[in-house]
Amino acid sequence: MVPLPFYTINLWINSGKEVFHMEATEDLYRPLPTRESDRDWDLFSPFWEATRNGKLVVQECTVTKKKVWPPRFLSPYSPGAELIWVPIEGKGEIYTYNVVYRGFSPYFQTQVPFAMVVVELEGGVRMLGNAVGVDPSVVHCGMEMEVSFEKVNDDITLVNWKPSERS
Amino acid sequence: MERSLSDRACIIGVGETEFVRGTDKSLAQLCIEASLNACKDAGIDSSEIDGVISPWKFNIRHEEFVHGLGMKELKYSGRFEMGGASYIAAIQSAAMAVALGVAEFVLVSTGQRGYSGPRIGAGDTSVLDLNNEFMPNIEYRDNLEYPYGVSVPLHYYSLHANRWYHEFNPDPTGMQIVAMTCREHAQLNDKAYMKGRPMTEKDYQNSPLLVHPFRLFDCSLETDGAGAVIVTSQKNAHRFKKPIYIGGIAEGHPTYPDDIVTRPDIFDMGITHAAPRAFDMAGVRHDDIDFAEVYDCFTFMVLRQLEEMGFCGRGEAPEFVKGGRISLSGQMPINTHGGLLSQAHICGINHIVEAVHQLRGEAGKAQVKDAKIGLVTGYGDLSDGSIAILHN
Repeated sequence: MVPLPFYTINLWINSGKEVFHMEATEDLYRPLPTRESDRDWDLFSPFWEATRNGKLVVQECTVTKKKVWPPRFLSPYSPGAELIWVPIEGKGEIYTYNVVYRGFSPYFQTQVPFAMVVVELEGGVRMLGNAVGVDPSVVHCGMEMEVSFEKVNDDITLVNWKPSERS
Repeated sequence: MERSLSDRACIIGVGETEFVRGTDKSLAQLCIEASLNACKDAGIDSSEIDGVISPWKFNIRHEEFVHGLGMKELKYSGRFEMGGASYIAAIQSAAMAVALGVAEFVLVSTGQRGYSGPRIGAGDTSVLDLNNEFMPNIEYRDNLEYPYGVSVPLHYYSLHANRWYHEFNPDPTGMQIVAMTCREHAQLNDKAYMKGRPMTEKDYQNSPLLVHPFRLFDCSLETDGAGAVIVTSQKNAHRFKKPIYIGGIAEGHPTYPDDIVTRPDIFDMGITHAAPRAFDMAGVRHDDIDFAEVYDCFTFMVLRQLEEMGFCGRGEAPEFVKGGRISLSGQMPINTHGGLLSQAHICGINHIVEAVHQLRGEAGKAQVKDAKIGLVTGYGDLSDGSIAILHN
């Protein structure tokens, strides 16, 4: 088998769909959320719209009022119940984490070492992102973190986490 | 619980290819080669096979087996999407099919071109996209994981591991003991890729940290190969010399199955649910188990499965595996062939093949004395699990 470059496979898998990727050449291979225009549903757009405006939102079950994360089409807590998007405070403790020393894709090879952190917010919501503003090797469970928005392009603002000013 | 499936099916043939790094053969060729070896082992003509399940790997389908084995009639086929837990789930399904008479001889075969196919270890990033495509809940992965670098099992499972270390403060040498035990057992197995390549404590500790807390030697091998087993009903068993009975078998899924880190109980796994059902069905207790082949995609997963099966409490597996308990001469030897860590990674089916060899008394230098009851597990995707309890 002839090894295909990363972007070729991406194009092949996404062929026929309109995919928004980074335009800057040096960041071409950075994986970003695929925003597919040919879908009838639009599960993640409210989240990315909020982050674009510097806000964090999650879903809430209209019956149980429990927070729902990751986004679902219908409530996992009350079968068939509808979900609404609600704001959530971008502060919490690290529930778990890892530190990546070997990157597997071209973009992340340039980022190592870096930490993935899962931050527990109010209502038990656990949200994953990268740790920023901290040496990855000192990241640990229980660290107080707050949200740090990273504008990647006009469409996508990613959610990362930095040590809270309180800590 | 009604012991509905217990002892109503047995394994009558097992087969494998060589385990190598570098092959010109397609996955279909490898699986058919292993399947023909299994037929030969059972002493049946391959045309007698009338059911096929090829779990998990996406580039081989049952049609290939019809041609490759010269099957006269295919009465039953299936697929399973549970990663490394698929092969035992497939055997469970095969057992149900033969017990009910839907088919007489059901073949379960899988394998992978883990070295010669696209592989991450060689820097082939196409496999990252393929991994992503075959995980559950792709939209979630695409939106909330891939952009942050989450793309391979090391990433998912290290997030589980670091919480485990935080909550239970387990002895950090547990993973090393699993790695070294598997490597020791591989020295006794002629087929093991790591035969002749022993590992010292220093080798383990010097292996590079890939994703904290996993070192290179905590990861299973990239190898090429395939395996196959043939399942038939208890009523056909008398035709065969050494049928190995399926005493208990179950698949299990965590209560929040498509994500690890948002799962309310991050330690809840498929095998947490499957193990009590399999033990009940087999009517055995933990201390009845003579040996265990525990799915070892990573050393850490061996520890966690031992805990979730109830051999010890959460955080206690590193103590459990100490003092030689899981070595060949210990109370419960594990991965007597070297496992995925040191024999070969062929999607787990070599675990069942080894268990059958052990229970027939054909395990050579690694034979567990008087082995009567063996346990085999599968683990895959986002903590799906499966377990089989076999006896002779």
